Amino acid sequence: MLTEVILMAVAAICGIQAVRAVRLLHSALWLAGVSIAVTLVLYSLGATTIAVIELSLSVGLITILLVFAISMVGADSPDQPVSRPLNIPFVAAMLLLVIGLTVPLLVPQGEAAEDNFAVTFWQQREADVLAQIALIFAGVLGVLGLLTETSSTQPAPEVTREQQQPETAPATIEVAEKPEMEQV
Amino acid sequence: MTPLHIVLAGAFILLGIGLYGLLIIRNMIKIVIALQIMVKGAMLAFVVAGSLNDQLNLGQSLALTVITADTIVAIIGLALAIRIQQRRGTLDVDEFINLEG
Repeated sequence: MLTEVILMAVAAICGIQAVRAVRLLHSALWLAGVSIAVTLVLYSLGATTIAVIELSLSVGLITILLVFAISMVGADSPDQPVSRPLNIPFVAAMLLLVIGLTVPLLVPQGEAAEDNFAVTFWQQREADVLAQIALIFAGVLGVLGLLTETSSTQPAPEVTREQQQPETAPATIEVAEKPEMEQV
Repeated sequence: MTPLHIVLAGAFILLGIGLYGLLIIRNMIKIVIALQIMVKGAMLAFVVAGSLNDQLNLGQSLALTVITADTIVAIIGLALAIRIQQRRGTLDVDEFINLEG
């Protein structure tokens, strides 16, 4: 029990620091701390399969993606949080609403026939599998659509006055020469 | 109070931290981070609910779906942030009031 208390306290502290940190890179690293604490909590609860997936996806993939995105963005732009007076009462009201709606549903409902994880996931949750496949395809298509360089979205290159002068100069010469030709 | 109740309380705390972050943060990448914190709370709540009802595998499979959706949301959000930074030069969501289609 003490282990869960310590791990949840670590997760909460890391979460607060991830929100409060000014630099984006620090926020990403604090988020990795939250993920590690959550992974250890899942392992202590016996959910070993999902703990491994959480460790590999959240701590590995998401952290690497965040660092990559921060480096792509360029400067580690600092963020100054906006504090409004109604933020904390709003969060407290929403939490009370969620707790009031979910906690009464968490009453133990007797013995349930429990298979292993593979049987539960592949045979009883087929709709979830299909939804995950659709989500992965949507994610790939979304990233391709957002990050692929297309000619229509490229901004037009700026043309300087020095580059424009050689094109306009012959036109003025031709206009000036035309009256002479007519006189001849 | 059992360890499951402590973890459930921690899940609600993570949910609150993420929601508070969404309210105070203006940077788009940090919004993705706050969403990640919220989703971790929801995922923990799924696993705890499964453990309380003696259906841990069902809770794990639901949590796996949540993790997949959360990862896709993070990837799309970060790609969107990179694209917006390239086009507008800022990640401040308060600057996005004049969206053009």
